[in-house]
Amino acid sequence: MGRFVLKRLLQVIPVLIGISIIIFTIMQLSPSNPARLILGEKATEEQIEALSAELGTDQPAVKQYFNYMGGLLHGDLGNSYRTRMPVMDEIVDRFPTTFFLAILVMVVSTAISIPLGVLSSLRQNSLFDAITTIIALLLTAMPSFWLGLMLMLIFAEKLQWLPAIGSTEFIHFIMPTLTLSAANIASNMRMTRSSMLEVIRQDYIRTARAKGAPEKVVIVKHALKNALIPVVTAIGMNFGWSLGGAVLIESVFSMKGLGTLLLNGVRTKDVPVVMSAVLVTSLIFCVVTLLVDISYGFIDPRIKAQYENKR
Amino acid sequence: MENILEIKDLHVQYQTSEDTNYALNGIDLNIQKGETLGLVGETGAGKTTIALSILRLLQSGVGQIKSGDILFEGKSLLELNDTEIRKVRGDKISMIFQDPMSSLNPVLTVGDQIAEAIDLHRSLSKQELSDMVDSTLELVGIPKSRKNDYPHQFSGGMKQRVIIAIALSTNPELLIADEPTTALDVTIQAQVLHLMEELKQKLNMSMLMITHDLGIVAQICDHVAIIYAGKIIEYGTVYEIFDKSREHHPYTKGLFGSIPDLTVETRRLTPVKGLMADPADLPEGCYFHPRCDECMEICKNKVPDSCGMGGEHYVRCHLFKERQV
Amino acid sequence: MKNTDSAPRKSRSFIQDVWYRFKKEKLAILGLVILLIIFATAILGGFLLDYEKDIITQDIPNKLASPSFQHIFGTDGFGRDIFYRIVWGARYSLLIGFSGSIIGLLVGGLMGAVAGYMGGTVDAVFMRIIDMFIALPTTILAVAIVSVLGPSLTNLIVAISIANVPSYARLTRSSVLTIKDNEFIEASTAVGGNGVHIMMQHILPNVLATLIVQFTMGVGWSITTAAGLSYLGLGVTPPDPEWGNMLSEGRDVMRYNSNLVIFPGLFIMVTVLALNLVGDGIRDAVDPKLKN
Repeated sequence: MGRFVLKRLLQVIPVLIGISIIIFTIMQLSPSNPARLILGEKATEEQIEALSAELGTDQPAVKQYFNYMGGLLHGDLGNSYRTRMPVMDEIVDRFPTTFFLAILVMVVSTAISIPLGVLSSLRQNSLFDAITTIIALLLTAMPSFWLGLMLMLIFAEKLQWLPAIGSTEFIHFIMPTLTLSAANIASNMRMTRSSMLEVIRQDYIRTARAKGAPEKVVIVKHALKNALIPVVTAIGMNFGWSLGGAVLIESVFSMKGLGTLLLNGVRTKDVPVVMSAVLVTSLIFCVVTLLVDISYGFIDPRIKAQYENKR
Repeated sequence: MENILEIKDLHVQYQTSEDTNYALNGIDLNIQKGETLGLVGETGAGKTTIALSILRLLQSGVGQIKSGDILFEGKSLLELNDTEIRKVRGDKISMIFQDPMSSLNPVLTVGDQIAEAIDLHRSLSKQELSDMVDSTLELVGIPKSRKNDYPHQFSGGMKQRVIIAIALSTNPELLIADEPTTALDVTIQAQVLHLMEELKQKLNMSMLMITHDLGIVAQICDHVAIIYAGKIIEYGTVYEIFDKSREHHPYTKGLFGSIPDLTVETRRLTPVKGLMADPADLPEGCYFHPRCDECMEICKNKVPDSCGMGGEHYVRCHLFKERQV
Repeated sequence: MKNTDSAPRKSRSFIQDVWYRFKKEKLAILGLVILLIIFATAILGGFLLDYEKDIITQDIPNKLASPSFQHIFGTDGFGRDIFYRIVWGARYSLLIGFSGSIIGLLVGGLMGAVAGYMGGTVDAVFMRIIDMFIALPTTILAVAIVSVLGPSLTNLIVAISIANVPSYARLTRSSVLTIKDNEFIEASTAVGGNGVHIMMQHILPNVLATLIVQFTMGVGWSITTAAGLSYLGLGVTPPDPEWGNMLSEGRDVMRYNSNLVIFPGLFIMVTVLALNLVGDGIRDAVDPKLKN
C-alpha cells in the first residue's frame, strides 16, 4: 500500500510539468504584452521596455519558463507582474477560501445525496422517487452560476437574509456552497440510486436475506458498501469540478479565492499568477484523486489486493 | 413418516411490465423428515421459484404467490409476518445458492459472513461466536486460519464450502440446495457432494436438492420429483424413477434419454427436442403436449390428473389415465 | 404468435430499433419537442427580427420595464426587449454548443480511435497527455484559452471545442479498446480485413452509440460553459445578446429589476434539460440494459 501511494505521488510530477507547459504555451500565444497591459495605452516605448526588463518578459519564452520552474523547485512562485509581490503570499492568502469552499461542497453534497439516493432506490417508482428524479434533472440542467444568481436574488436582494458578496465570514460561504453543491447532489444521488438498484439485485444480497438478516442490515451492511464504490469516484471527480467551477462562482459572489485570482491573472497576462494558481489547483486535484483511489482499498478488499500486488 | 415440508397447490406468477409469467401452476410436494428430495427439470421450469417461495424471497413486486400454501412443521410459512419469517430463514431453513462466485459479499470477510448467520439467530458471546465460526469452517474442511480472508481469495469450490458453512452454521432442519455444484469443476463437484451427504447424515437434516444432474439424484436423493412448466409431472422414490421396467412420463423418458441403471455412473440429462414452454404463454391442456411424441387429441385440451403407478410413484399424463380407475 | 407488434422485429436495422425504443420514452420525446421549438424559434427569429432595430438599439426612457404586451419579458438596462434578445441569443448558444461539440467530437474521436487502435507507444503518450487534461479542470482550460485568444464568438467556439476534446478522446479510446478485443474483430482480421477497413466497418458503428449519448450531454455542457465564459466577459461581448452576458448585465441591475437575471438563465436551463432528456432517451434506447 505504501509503495502504491509513493508510486502514484511520483506520477503526479510529470502530470504537473505537462500542465505547466500547456498553460505556459497558451499564455505565450497571447499577442498582448504584459507590460503594455499594466502601464496602459499611454505609456511610452521606453517605459514599456524598462518594465519588460524588470519583469523578465523581454527574455526568450523558454528561458522564462525555466526561470519560473527553477524558482518553483525552491518553493518560489515568482512575483506577480501586476503587484510585484510574491505570488506565494497571494496563494497562501486565497487558498483557504477556495479549499474551504470545495470541502464544504463535498461534505454537504455527500451528506445530502447519498441518503436521498438510497431512499429513492428503496422506493423505486414511488412518488418520492419521481420527485427526486425531477429535482435532479432540473439541478443538472441549471447553470451553476445562474443558480448562484437566483439564490442571491432571493436570499440577498429580496429576503435580505444573507450577504450577497464577500468571503470573510462563514455566512458568506452558505450561498456559494449551495450553488456548487446542487449539481453534485443531483449527479451523486442518481448514481447512488442506480448503483444501489444494481447491487440490490446481486446474489449476495439474496444470501444475506436468506440468512434471516433484517432489511436494515441488508441495506446498510451488505448493499451500501458495495454500492458506494462508483459513488466515491464521482465524489472525487466532483471535487475537481468544484475547483474549476469555483472560477465562476467566486466571481459571482466576489470571493477572494484562487478562482478570482486566476481570472484576474488571465485578464492581465500575469504569467506567474496564472501558472501558480493552475498548478496549485491541479496538485490538489491529483491529491484528491489519489485519496479516492486509496479509499477504494478500504471499501473493497479486491482493489486493495490489486494495489498490494502492483509493485 | 412425518412431513417436514408440505407444499399445497402453489401458484406463483412473475409480473413484468410486458406480461405475466406463470412460473408455478399448482405444485404439490412433500418432504419427509430426514430425507432428501431431488427436484429435477430444465432451466426455467420453476425449480428455483419453489425454493424462493419457501423462504419467501421472491423479488418483491415482481414475484407473487397467488394461491396455495406452504406448511413447515405443520405451520403455514405464508401467514408469517416479516419478523417471523426472518426467524425461520437461516435458522430452521437454510439455502445454498447456485453460483458460489456471486453469492458471497465481496467486501466482508468469510468469517464475518458466517458469524452473521449465527449471530442473527443465537445470542452468543464474542468468544463463543468466534469458536463457532471456527468449528463451522472446520466442518466444511476450511482451515480456521482463513476466516479473515475475503471471498476473492478463495477458489470456486472453496467459496461453495463457505456458502455451505453459512447454511449449516445454525444447524437447520431443512436445507434447500439450488444446483449447488453446477458452477464447479467435476472433481470439486464430487468433493462438495460428498461433503453435503456426510453433513446431512451427521446433522440429520432434511434436504431439497434442486438439480439437473441425474448422477446427483441417483447418489443422494431418496425421492425424486420431475417438474415441467411449473407442474410436478412425475414423482416417486429414486428406485421407482430409475426403474426401467416401470412406465414413465414421456418428458421423463426424454430427459433421461434412456433411463440409466442406478449402477451406471453419472449421466447428464439429454436435451429434449423443442423449447421449454413459454411461461408467459402456456399451451392449453398438458403443458408438454407440443413437444410430446405420444401426444393425443385429449392432451391438447385437458390438463391431465396424476395417476398412481404403484408404490409412491405417480405420473401426470393422459397415457396412463385408464389405470387410475 | 404473441408480441407481434410489441417487440422489435429482427428485420429492423439498428437505427430503426433505437428509434423504436426511443419513441417509447415519453420524457425523451418531450425533450426532443422542446429542442425543436428552440431551434425553430432561433431560426424564425433570424428572419423576423432586425439586428439593428430590435436587438441593439437602445431606448433609455423605457429601461427596466416590467413585462407587458409590448415587451413580454420586460426590457433590460438599455430599454431593449429581453425576449427578442433571448431569441437572438439562442442562435449563439446553439451555434456554440453544437459546433463546439462537433469539432471536439471529430478531433477527440479521431485521436482516441487512433490511440486505441494503434496501442503501444502512441497509446502510452496519448494517455499521459489525457492524464494532464484530466487534472486540469476544463473550465479553467477554457478560461485560459479564450482569454489568450481574446473574447469573440469564434474564439469562444475554439475554446469550447478544445475543452471538449479530452473527454471524447478518452471515451473513444476506451470503447475502441473494449471492442478491439471482441471476437468479431479478430474474425475480420483473420479473413484479411485491413486496418482502415476494420475501423470503418466494425469499430466505428459500435463506438458511435456511446459517442452520440456523450454528444447530446456534451452540447448541454458546452452551452452552459460558453454562457459562463460570456458571463465572465470572456465570450460573446455586449451589445451582442448572448445568454451568459445578458445574465452578467442582469446581475448589475438585479436590485432594480430581476427579469434580466431570471429569463436568460431559464432558457439555458430548459435547453440543457431538453438535451439531457434526449441524451437519456438515446442511452436507454441504445442499451436497454442500462435502464433502471
